[in-house]
Amino acid sequence: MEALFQIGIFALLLGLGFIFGRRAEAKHYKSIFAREDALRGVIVSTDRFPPVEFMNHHSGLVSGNVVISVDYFKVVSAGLRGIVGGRIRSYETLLDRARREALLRMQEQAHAAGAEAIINTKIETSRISGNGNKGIASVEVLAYGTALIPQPAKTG
Amino acid sequence: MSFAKQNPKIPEGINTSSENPLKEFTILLGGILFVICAIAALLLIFSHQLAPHIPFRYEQALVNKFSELTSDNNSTEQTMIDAELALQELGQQLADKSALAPDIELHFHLLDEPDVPNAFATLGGHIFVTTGLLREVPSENALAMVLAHEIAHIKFRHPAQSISGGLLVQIFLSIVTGQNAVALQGTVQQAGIMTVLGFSRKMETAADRAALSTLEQHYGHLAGAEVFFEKILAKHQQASWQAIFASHPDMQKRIEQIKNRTSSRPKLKTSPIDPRLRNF
Repeated sequence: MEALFQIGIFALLLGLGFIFGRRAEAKHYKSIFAREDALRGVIVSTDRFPPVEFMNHHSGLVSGNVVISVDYFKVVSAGLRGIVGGRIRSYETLLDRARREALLRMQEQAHAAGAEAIINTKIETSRISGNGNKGIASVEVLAYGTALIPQPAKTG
Repeated sequence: MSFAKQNPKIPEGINTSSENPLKEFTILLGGILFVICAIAALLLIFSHQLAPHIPFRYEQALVNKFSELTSDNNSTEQTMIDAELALQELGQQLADKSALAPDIELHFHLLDEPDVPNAFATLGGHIFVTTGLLREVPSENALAMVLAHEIAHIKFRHPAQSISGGLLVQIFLSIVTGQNAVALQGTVQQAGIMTVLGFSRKMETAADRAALSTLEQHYGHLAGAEVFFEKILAKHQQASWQAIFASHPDMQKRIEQIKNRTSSRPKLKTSPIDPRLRNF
């Protein structure tokens, strides 16, 4: 009886994780695609030095970071994958979303500052673990770079 | 060097896959469950062969918590303590003659159940005797027969064998799921350490045979050994005997076997029972 109860809770969590995780993921991707299109004008580059035409731009630090939680379904799925090995697909989409969201937030910040491009972009990922190895872990992705902001046209 | 007018649109599906995660999950879960079930089934099938090879200290570790519990329970009355001590002395003498494996340790416990004459061997080398049994035995030889019988069960690792199907599967599952040993202990206790384990007819016969050899070595004869089993048979109809009968089938046949062995030798005097065991 107790075992049945435990299996029931497990299945419920799994189902909730799957339904809500899937919905959140679909919604997030939709938003990512839309915003990527909207911010395509803010060029993101990993070059360390600005091209010639940006030489007279101001520069400033811009960053964007995001924390995304794993859902129960992904944890169980990854746990099963951990036994046999191979690509953990359930985590791949998670990290892909986090990375793109962080870049978008960085672009949004740059856009707000009036920047035309961002150079020297770096991405860092760190794990925010829930008490040791237990609990549901989440992941933080930080993207940062140097925004190139055009100088206001000199008057007179 | 200059930049493109805008960021390129990178095609989807390079870093991620659009496959429904349920598909992967189902395949993984199904496959892993199948392998686990297959291994568990194999362990169950071969448990009787594997059980005697489980190190005895594993068995001990599993029931350790439990043995602490019983020693606390029983150390209330002085007569009980004395009787348990006497039981242990007799048991140890018999154990020395039983050719036990060196790592096996025996513990004898007296249960205060005057209405239920019973004795049983369980995991971890624990042998339980009820006060009801002490009431019934007429001589030390009869009690020694019972003890030697239970010692033989432990010698042949019968408790581990009879529980090992479930136990091996439990151990295996706990390794797979990463459950700790404490949780395992709980399940073993649930599985019935305190209860009479179901030994097969073959096990009982083997234990009888070994017990008779032990008795022969200890006393030099087998007189009085059959008394206990005769008594059990005489009271077959009584409900309190049901428990011991469940684990001791074919009582009549066994008494005959014992009698066959005893009758071929001259009748000898039985030893009187320890006075400390007479207080019930």
